[in-house]
Amino acid sequence: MDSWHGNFHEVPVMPRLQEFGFEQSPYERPNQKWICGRAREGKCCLSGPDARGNCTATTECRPLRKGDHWYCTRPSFLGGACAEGPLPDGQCCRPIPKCCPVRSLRAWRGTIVLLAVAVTLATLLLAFASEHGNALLSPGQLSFAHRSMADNCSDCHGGVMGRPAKWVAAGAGSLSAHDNSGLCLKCHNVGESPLQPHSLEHAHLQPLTVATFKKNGPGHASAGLMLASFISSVDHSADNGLACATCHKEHRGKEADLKKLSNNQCQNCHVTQFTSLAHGHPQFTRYPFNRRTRIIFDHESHFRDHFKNPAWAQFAPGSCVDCHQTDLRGGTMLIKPFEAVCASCHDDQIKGKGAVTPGIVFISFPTLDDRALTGKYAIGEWPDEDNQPLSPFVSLLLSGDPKLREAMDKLQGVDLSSLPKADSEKLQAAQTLAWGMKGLIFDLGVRGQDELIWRINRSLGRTLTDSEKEGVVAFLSPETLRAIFRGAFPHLQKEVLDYRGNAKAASTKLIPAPDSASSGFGVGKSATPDAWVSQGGWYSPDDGTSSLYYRPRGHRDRFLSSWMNLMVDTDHAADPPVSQAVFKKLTAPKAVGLCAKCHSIDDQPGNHVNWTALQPDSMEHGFNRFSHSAHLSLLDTQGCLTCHHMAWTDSKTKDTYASAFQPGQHDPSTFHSNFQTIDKAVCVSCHQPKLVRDDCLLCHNYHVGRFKPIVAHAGIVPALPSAATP
Amino acid sequence: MTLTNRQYFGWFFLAAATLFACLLNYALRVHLRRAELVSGAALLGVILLLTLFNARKKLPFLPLLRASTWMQVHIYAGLLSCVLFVLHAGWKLPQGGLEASLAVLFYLVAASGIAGLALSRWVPSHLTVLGENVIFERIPALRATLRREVEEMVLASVAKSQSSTIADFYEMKLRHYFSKSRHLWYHLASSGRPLFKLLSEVQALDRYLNAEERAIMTRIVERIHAKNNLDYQQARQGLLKAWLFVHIPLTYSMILLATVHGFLAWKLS
Repeated sequence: MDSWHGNFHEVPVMPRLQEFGFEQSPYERPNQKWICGRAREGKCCLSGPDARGNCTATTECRPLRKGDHWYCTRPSFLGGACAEGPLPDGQCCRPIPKCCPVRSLRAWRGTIVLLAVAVTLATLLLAFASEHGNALLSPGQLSFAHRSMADNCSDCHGGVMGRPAKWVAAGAGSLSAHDNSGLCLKCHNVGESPLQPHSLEHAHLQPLTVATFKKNGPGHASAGLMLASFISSVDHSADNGLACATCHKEHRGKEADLKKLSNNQCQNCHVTQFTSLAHGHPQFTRYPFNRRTRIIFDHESHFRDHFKNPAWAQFAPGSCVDCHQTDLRGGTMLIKPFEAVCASCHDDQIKGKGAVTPGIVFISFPTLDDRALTGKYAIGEWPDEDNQPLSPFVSLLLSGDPKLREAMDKLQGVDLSSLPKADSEKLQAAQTLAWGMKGLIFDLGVRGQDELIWRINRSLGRTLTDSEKEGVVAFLSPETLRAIFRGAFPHLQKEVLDYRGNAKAASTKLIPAPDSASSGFGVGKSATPDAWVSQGGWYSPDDGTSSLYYRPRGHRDRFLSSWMNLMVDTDHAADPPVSQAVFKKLTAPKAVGLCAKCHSIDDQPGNHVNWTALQPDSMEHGFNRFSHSAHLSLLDTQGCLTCHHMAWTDSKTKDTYASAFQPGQHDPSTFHSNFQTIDKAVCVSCHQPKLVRDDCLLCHNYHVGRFKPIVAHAGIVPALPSAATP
Repeated sequence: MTLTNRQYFGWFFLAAATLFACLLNYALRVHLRRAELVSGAALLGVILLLTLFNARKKLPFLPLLRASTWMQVHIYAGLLSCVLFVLHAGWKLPQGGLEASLAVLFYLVAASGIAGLALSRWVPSHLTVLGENVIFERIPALRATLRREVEEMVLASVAKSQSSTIADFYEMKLRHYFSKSRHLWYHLASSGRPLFKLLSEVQALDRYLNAEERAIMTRIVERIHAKNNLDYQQARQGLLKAWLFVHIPLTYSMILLATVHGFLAWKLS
């Protein structure tokens, strides 16, 4: 402490300022709201102000009477008994002038408390009553994706409409989180069971859970999960489900990631728990291949055999990306178009170049025994041809007629070219079949493509779509049809009309095949009919028959693909075996067009031909996801083989890639891939703590299924005006 | 510093409660339960418990534990509320108007509470540095007494010495000094500069005083020191009163906002 120097060098002994004791000092009352106005002068009265701040002072004391004397009672701290003493009437002779009481410190604090509460209340009332109150009461900014709903709370909170005071008074906003989830689902489609775990019904998820537990066991939970295990998880029963807000927390700013969850949060429901991808995550067993490829391409045979053949070596790809490319999202590795990667070797094969019969027979006539089919079994004019089988297409076109179907059934396994010992029933059936075929040619010649489509509709038991109609007729023209069959049936119209008019059938007469030289162009100088349509189309070969053939126009031939699509599913066909015969004809290993050589046929989820390789489906959400494009720049000199190791043919089991595509093998889940399952260690080499993310959501989706986006308020046809409108 | 048994218990309670709160909050979050609702309810409960301390002080006649026990509970529960607040709202300032206001109020209440705790530990031990420790409410009266005494001495000096030296000095320097509290900020900063300056002026006056006047001046200097002590007491004890002017009003505002926030969170989450 600085002190005064000079004559007064030391800090003096200060006088004692305050005294304690009821005789030396007044009693302090700091808790009272008002204090005497003279207190600051050290002259406060004994009574002090009342509760309302009024001065109650009268005199300095209240004299005390003892006997017939009055004595002064002024306390000693106010000077003790006065010399004058009380007045004769017992009143104190020292009146105290009225003071102006002042508020105590505590009273001021109480006032400030009231003021603060009042300001807060007023602010809240204004917020609740204001049009902009919802914005003030909002707990934070919405995420970027939801920013358009910032001004309309009721989009996400049921019943929260208008001013806060309104919906609070109405008891609105009391919907449960599950009820509010329905509002989320107005815009977000996550399947038929959106609130169930993984958007899967309990009946679907439980087998997966059981299988996972059976395969991987309980695992070793992380320390965090074990620490948190003293409480139970959210109820996942089928009845309750999980509200959207359980995982997706809004109002955390526009940069917030609504899908962010920790590994432990993901795993707390799982039966198999583990620490990280590197430690405990189950090894991949069928990843990335869980089915056979849709396009049949044997990498092993191509690289071991075909591309080593000098004739084809020039077409061998230099790297994987010569044939594969990522899709627009970078997730799926696609196959480049046929024209870019396959056509150089296979285009001519599809067109039938060099094949003995480059086209597929559509209409042909079996050789009939003209000596047996006479008299009441006469068939009129019939082409005299070499032993031709009945075309399965013709069988199909006839099978819609029950009589003809019955006739064909009776003639199963019968050699129609030799019927000398046939009974009357078979002869009758052969006659019916012959006239049915002639009727087919006649009707096609008269009604054209519509007749063909009508007969197909009748045979398949359904109506073809416009696209299917266009495909199956393949521009068949009347000139083509008539030119081919005019020579075989010179009097077809009269014969058919007579037969149908119940007139006597014309006598059987074999009509020799027309001489191709009679065409006027000469045989030796013009191209053969199949060569003439080298780029595809209808033709009749000059082999002495009156048959209608179709030569494919190349890859993506509409005729072949349409017929295959129609015949692959014969459940509703009038005569399924006939349809199957057509399909067998189209998909035989050496069939014209060689469609089934590369395009596999699956029986799941229903018979269908895989015309394309795997196509990314933006609406399909599986459990796993992977971005090829994110990894392409990380590959070493082995390229894609860094991760995708070839699985060469097992010499012991003889399992080959092609074995999964044997004729009749339509189960896609039975397969032998050209590539080994990805080894988890490959992923772990980068995806581990302190290197690259290894959290669950990097590779796994939560909502699983095929979800179509919801386009809200999208009415293509504008609402019609009300009928009541005048 | 030696901890008492009560302090040991307090810190143990705080550590145990913090550990349990963190563990429960973590478990609730891992299990995707409504951790914010639980931590918020717990926080509101603790805040209401804290306000009971003020209510208890207004009901001194009730036999509900000693005030010092309540004070200890208030201190450790207050620290626990800070932990719960961080668990509930995190470290960042919330974005919403209501939530941000509530967070700011909590920050201010907590900061003023911690400041008050520190002051209540630091100020009392320094109150006797300059002299007698007086009751805060008596300071104005004591200052008035000193002023009256000094004025009486000044009048006496004129009568005895027939000189107005001390009276003039009083008029120029001391009347202002004794009229009210002075140099409070200097006292908060533990600075004796104003007193030193005033005493230097008294020292400069000394050459003009005779023996009688010097004796009177000596007694006046005693009052100057006493007045300096009163100012010091007012500044330091004022601190002990002033932080409550922030802490208590904001507490009630905060409880109001927290109630509304809790209601909305309960209804809309």
